[in-house]
Amino acid sequence: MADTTQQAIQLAGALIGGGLMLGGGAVGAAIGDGLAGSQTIAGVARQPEAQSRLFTIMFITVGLCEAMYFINLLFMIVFVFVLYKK
Amino acid sequence: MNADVLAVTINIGSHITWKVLGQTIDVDTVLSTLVAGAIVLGVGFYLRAKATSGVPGKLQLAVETILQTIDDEVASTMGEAGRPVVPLAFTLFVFILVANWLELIPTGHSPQYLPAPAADVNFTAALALFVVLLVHATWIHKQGWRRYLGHYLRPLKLLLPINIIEELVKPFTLALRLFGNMFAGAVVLLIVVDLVPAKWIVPIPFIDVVWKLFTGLLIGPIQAGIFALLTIVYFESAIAGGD
Repeated sequence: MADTTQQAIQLAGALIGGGLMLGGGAVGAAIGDGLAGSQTIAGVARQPEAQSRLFTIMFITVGLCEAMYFINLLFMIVFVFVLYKK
Repeated sequence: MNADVLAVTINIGSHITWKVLGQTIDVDTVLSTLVAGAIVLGVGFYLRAKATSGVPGKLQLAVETILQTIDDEVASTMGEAGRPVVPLAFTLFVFILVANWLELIPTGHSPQYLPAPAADVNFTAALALFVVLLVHATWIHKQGWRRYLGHYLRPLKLLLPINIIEELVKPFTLALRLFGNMFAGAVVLLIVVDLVPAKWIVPIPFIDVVWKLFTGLLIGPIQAGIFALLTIVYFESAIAGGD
């Protein structure tokens, strides 16, 4: 009985931790992308000729921000699937 | 790893492995890497045979555009001293792009026969380690030991631990960024294809195609571009000196 309880607690902890990681990562990535996008819009509004250069920089920043989220996702998968033992 | 997602068991992160000389090798990743390398080399040789200075064909135009973009980026960052970095950045970009595109080809086996190589951390870790070691070797070669060791103490001697951590973390983030993006794409593909029962109104191939379009057109090129761009940025501090 204690073994099942311990497994249940481990699994619950892993899933809750995974959910927190995903939530925090998503919020961070979304805020970062939103900031990059808003600055791009402001820049294009001031100087429409700079649009293509600004878009390039925006996509680069988006790629770097999303990387944080994907690293979080990776650790969530490690936590949940390494601790999920039948 | 096997996972039960809503009463469907999916295979995440499992590869076809062979045991060679006591080491376990993910054969499907190796096969994908070889196929991607063969495609890049084949396109390269083909373009070299058919390169014209007249009106270029579409493939030559695309390759010249990519090369021009990378050349401008390197020139604006490092100037003339950065010329040797251009082939490296170009090759990394095209190779990782083709490798990411290989994921779009389904081969219908449970661990795919042609997976995205970047969905295996060995591939991205090898690339990242190679780039970082090359950067440090170039740094020492171009600037000598004294300036290389001295850069850890700039701008403040107090920042020495932070600088060391930064240099140690670079290969990790480089590898994990590419790996996380591609691995998450592969996992979503598995979940989406297995999750939607055939009797629903939305046909499965539609979601499959939409997700593959998203991954292939957006995430693949962006992550390949970021890998190449970060390579250029890391080389900038090695060649043009951080003072």
